[in-house]
Amino acid sequence: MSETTTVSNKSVWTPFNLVAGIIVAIGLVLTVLRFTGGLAAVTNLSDDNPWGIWIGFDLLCGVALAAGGYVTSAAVYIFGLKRFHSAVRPAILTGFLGYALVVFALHYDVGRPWRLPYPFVVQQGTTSLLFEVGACVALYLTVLFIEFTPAALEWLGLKRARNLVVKLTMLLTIFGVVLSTLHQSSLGALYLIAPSKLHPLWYSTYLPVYFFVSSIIAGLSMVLFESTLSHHYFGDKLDEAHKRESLGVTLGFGKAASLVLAGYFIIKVIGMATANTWHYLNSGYGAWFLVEMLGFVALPCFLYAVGVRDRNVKLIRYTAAWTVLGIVVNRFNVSLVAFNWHLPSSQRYFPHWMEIMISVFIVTVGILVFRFIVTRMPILYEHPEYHGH
Amino acid sequence: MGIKRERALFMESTFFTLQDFMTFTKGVTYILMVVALIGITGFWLFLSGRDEDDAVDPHPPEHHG
Amino acid sequence: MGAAGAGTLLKGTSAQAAANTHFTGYPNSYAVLHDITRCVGCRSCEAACNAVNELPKPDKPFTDLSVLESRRRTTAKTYTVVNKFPSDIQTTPSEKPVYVKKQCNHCLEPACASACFVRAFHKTPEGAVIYDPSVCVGCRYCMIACPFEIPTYEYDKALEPRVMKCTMCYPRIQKGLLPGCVQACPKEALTFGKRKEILDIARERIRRHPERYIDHIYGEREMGGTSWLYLSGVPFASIGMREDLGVTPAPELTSGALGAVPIVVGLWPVLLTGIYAISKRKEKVSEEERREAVEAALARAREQAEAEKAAALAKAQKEKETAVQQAVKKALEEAKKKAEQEGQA
Repeated sequence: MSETTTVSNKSVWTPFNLVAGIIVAIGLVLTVLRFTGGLAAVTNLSDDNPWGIWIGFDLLCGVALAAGGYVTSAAVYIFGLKRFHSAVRPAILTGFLGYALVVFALHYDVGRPWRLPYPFVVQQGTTSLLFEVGACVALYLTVLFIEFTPAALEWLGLKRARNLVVKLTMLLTIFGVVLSTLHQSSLGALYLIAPSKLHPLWYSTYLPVYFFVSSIIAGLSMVLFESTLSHHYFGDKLDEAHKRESLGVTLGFGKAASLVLAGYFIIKVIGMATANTWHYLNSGYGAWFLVEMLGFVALPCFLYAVGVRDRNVKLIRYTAAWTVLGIVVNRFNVSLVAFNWHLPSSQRYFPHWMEIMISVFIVTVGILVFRFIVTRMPILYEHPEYHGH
Repeated sequence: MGIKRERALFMESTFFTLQDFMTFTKGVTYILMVVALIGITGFWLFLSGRDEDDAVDPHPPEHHG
Repeated sequence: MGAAGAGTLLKGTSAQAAANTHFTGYPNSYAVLHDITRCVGCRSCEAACNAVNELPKPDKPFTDLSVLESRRRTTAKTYTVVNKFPSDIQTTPSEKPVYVKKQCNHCLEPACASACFVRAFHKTPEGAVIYDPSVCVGCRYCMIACPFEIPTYEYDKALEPRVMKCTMCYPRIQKGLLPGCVQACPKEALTFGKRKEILDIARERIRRHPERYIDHIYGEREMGGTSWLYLSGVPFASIGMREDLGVTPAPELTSGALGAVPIVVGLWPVLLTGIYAISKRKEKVSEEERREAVEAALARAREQAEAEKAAALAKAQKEKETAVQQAVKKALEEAKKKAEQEGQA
């Protein structure tokens, strides 16, 4: 196992660190503005547009792209595909950080973040799908945290605690899949209550199913995307098992993603037939819908398939990045583009630069924490003392 | 205040709105879900308590050949 | 779920919790009838609402009718607005513009109440849908849910932002008073009463003056019915009131998805455990087969080795015997020769 010492001559002032530092500084200033001037001070939210990119991107995309955790652990522990084992820890870490960032971002978006526990401890709005989302996200974040702890415990040398947690893997994995199915689908179900505000090509009674299935696609693709970045930037941290399994993971996940994308395409078309919305295709929104379906569903489905058949790792990796973008496009479409499509353009929403900046800040914090963990804890490699477990 | 209201709703055997009906039924359902998850976990442990992988068989089958 | 089933509409006030029951709402709840043909756009209702609810003073006074030139919506400082629609959209011969008052419709099955995850909205038996700011987290899902685009938010408040909307003057109607706007209207464009009676009044007006009114009471069934009902002389769609909302109440829109949740919780663990058991069994069987194959191969190899060894031994034995025979033969021949030689001498 190649282990380059981290005690090097590398200065702290790398270009990345400088940029990250500036972003964090701006983020902190904007945080103060947010909590002294209210949402009006840093966002373009309005009475017509109560939800902006903090919901459309940070919440919807964040949760979808963190789905790699449950997908990978299900593949390895439930379906018994042991050859993907090296992908589990990075996926769980991405998942855990993803959900943690979602909760972090929510503290900026809701009017009174200190009241976020209220639905659980004060008064339960049980008819609300947002209640369901909140409950599942809170529970799942706990599950992910516990699933992440073995890596931290190994780093800290707490053997007994680590072994105890590992025994819970099966139980946590099943809970994780149950909770993920629920909240991934419920995020889509949030929009069921507003059929008059969502364009008919995107509104469907199948929205929960669409969000759930596309979360699987997002998870698979995000694992591949994150692995591409890790191989490039943290290549010295990868152990033999990782490198050996890498090709198998790429081909296996690429194949799965291709198949699920095909299924997703089919059920989206069925949804159109169910609602008889074909005629909407003949419009500006219709053209954009086709861009999403053909460019970001059909195309990656095909490219993944070609990549798998030809064993073209590069193509699969590029397709994964494109698919991740496609998930973002879909979530943006549902929450921001197709939502309020009936309003005149003067009443439509575009984010304030400060809103964008805070989202960038949140993602940057996530990347910094990811880097900290991956360069110190056994995520991309196996701890020598626990080899084989 | 929320809890008191909840009790009052429970006492009411008639619901005038679908909203109130669903608030009640979904509340019961959530509680059932938690109980079910804990219950099925316990049941699974019971079911796989004597799996042959873990248990030591006091009467191992004879080996011929 | 909960929708009108195959005719099991229970008479009277109690609505038991059965799958095919129809909920008819609180029997004695109030409603307001807004007769759009009577509204003259004086904005007295807006002024009264502002005073009764102690809302902040607006930039332009309520006597300023120039604000009617632009389309307005409710805001965090305005529970209700009157909008003006030009006279050329009318189908009646009258040349006057049309004025419409807009505010919370106090739906029978409010979308805001269905959407709120802390139950901050409540449909009261009196008919008013009221908001409780003491539990509100500020998620604004109610604003997403409301099909009439009514709730607003105090975005400029950092620590105590609230959702703002018409309350039907709930404290006043509990005391037997009229809502502020109804009290103030000089043209009787607003009528307050029991919803049943309000509907009767509306139907009677349509019946008496069919040339004056569109034959539709807006709010009678829209989104499952509202407590603010409207009569108009022009098509509702032309005066900013959506006619494509349907009659399905908001809770029904999400009941399907909500209903699937406990099924997933009940069945997923079983399915996943099953898959795990099957994959583990497959693994075990393939492990067994692998082991058997290895053992069989070893056994065969051993047998072959044994056979070769036996063959080699037998061969060696035979060679030994042949060698012994030859040696004996040679010795005999030598002895014979020797004996012959000695015999000759």
